[in-house]
Amino acid sequence: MNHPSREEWMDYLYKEAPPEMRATLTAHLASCPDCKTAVSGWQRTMKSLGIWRVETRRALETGLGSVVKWGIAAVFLVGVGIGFGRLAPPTSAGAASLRAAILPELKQELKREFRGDLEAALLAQRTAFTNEFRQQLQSAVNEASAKVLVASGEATQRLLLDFAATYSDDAEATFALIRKIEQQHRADYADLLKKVETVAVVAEARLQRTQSQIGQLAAFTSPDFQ
Amino acid sequence: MKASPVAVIKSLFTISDEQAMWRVQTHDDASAFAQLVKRWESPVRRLCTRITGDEHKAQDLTQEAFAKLFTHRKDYRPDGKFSTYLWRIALNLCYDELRRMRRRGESSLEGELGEMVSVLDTHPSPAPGPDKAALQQERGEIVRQALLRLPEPYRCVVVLRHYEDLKFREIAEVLDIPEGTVKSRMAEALTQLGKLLEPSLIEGSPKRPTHRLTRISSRPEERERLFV
Repeated sequence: MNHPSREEWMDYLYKEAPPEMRATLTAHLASCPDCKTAVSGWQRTMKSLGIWRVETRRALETGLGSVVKWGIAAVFLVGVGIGFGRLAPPTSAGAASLRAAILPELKQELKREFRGDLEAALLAQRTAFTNEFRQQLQSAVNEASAKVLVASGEATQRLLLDFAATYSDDAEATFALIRKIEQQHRADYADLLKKVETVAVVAEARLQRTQSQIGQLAAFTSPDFQ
Repeated sequence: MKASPVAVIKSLFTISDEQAMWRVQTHDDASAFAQLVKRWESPVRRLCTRITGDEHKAQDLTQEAFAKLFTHRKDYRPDGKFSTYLWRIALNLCYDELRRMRRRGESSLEGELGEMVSVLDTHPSPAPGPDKAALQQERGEIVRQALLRLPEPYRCVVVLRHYEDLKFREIAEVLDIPEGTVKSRMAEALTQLGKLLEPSLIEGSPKRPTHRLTRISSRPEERERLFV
């Protein structure tokens, strides 16, 4: 039987396994006593680890502190209420009507004040968030543009290097071709010179022969003329 | 996990840890730093307590961690998670403290070993006594001692996963090790803790006639074995 690995069991125990894997492991657990023993052991250990609790001293202190503060506040309010009640004149019908007249206006006033405060607070919060977002956006844009500049600089440099390399290759090939053509020209010239010289020598020889023939012809006298 | 509406509304009006740290980093914002301290003081102190096993030292280490956070605020990278950065600072301070304790020959276990063994021997299966709180404290002490007997790499993983509820992936990020290694360390740690706690605390486990506390090897590779 293929047993799941310890890593998979850890995912299972700490509820990090995806649902399909969890179902597979649960099924395996039901059919494999070895795995069941091991997993139960780990679960017992996990349970016992929870016994050690670190005291949250601050929470305790603040909890006690707030209880004391609220207690003092309550006593103070009760005292003020009793004192006010004792000092206040007895209520009358006039006071009740006055209260009835003032109360709605007072409520409206309080509502207006509360709304104003709330709106001001929301506006301030919104402004703060907007500023912060703007600053973050600005820094992100700056960072991105710096990156783009660096990247484009690198790309240009690379292209220039490629171009220079290609250009030097081309120049070398052109020079080689020119040298080859020049050599060809020189060879052709030498050949032509040779041929011209040959023609000249031959022409010279023929000219001399022609001259001698002319001389012979001039010297020749027909017997009929004499 | 679904957040409650109150938490959602609250989150709209509070800045995130990363935003607060960014303010501290760029504007030396004291109120933002105070917010971070308020939010993270307890978790960091809990972590230090569980790693060093000493509440007083943990208090000092927590203060030191926040002092270091402020001193090294420029080193924080805004693209990283704030909690990861803070956990790393706190863990490094804990490791330094443990090293110092070892050099001085001081240990949270020293002097308590005999007491611990006697507790385990006299209470092999503790029954609910008249003073439940005292018993609870005693049992918590046994767990603390067992945890301190684990080698640091294992203890660290147990504290972060079990007590601070970090995901295995997050622990791997904090410790800068593969996620698989975190899980195998967790499994090994639970196995070793089970052996230490079994005779005294764990209910339903097979009882042993005697129990001896032995220090576990600090080399993880010695104990890394596949479960088959």
